[in-house]
Amino acid sequence: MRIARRRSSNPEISLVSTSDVAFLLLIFFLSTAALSVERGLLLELPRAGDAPAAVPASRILTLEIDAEGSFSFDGRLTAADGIRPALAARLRAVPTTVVRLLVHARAPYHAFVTALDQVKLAGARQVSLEPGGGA
Amino acid sequence: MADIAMLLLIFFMSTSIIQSHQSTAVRLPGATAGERLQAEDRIRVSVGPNGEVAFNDARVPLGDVGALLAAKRAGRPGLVVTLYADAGTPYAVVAGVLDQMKAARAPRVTLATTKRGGA
Repeated sequence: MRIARRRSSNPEISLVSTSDVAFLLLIFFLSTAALSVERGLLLELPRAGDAPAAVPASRILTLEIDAEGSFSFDGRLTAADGIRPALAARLRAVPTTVVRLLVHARAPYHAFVTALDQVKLAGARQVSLEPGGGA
Repeated sequence: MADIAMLLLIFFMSTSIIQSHQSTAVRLPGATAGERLQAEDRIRVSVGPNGEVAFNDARVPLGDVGALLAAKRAGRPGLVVTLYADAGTPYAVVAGVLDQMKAARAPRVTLATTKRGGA
């Protein structure tokens, strides 16, 4: 009896779909890398021990943030997007205006960032940060 | 072609792992005037929604931030501290961190934000 010789076969793992998966993952990482660009608002803090600068009252404009995150501009309640035009008008009249930012201890941080953002957009260069109650 | 794709894939996977550095879950506030952060000499300070503080990914008490900063700051004049604070964090916690930075004589601080549309 003759036994048929079994043909040796080379077992292979098909890698055809590997490149497809690699490309899909590549597109995913490319898109997420493009989205993860970090941004920020730069602050130059005064150095500890620096004497506080004396500023005449006529150059000071007070922006207050209460515990709920509402804004008051020189005592008048205002919306967040109302800060920039009001401050820009003031800066046109008095370019050396210093913004005095009074922030309540329980005010949410996003309200503080919104205020700083608006102040920066209006073109103010000097901000004085002060605790605004609740501490 | 597939080899190049794999190489690029490894590159993006490794860089994305490096970027996932936040040890505290932080939802950043939005800002329009935020500038793109440069890849310069930076230290990361994170503040979570419940006031938990992390210094370069390691949880630390708020009172230790100043000493850690002062130690890291030595011999690095161009050092910038980036503050990743959660949008809902009470301001008092952030003010405490800023006070520590001021005491550590770290004058340049960047408040990390997300991009908000419109100007």
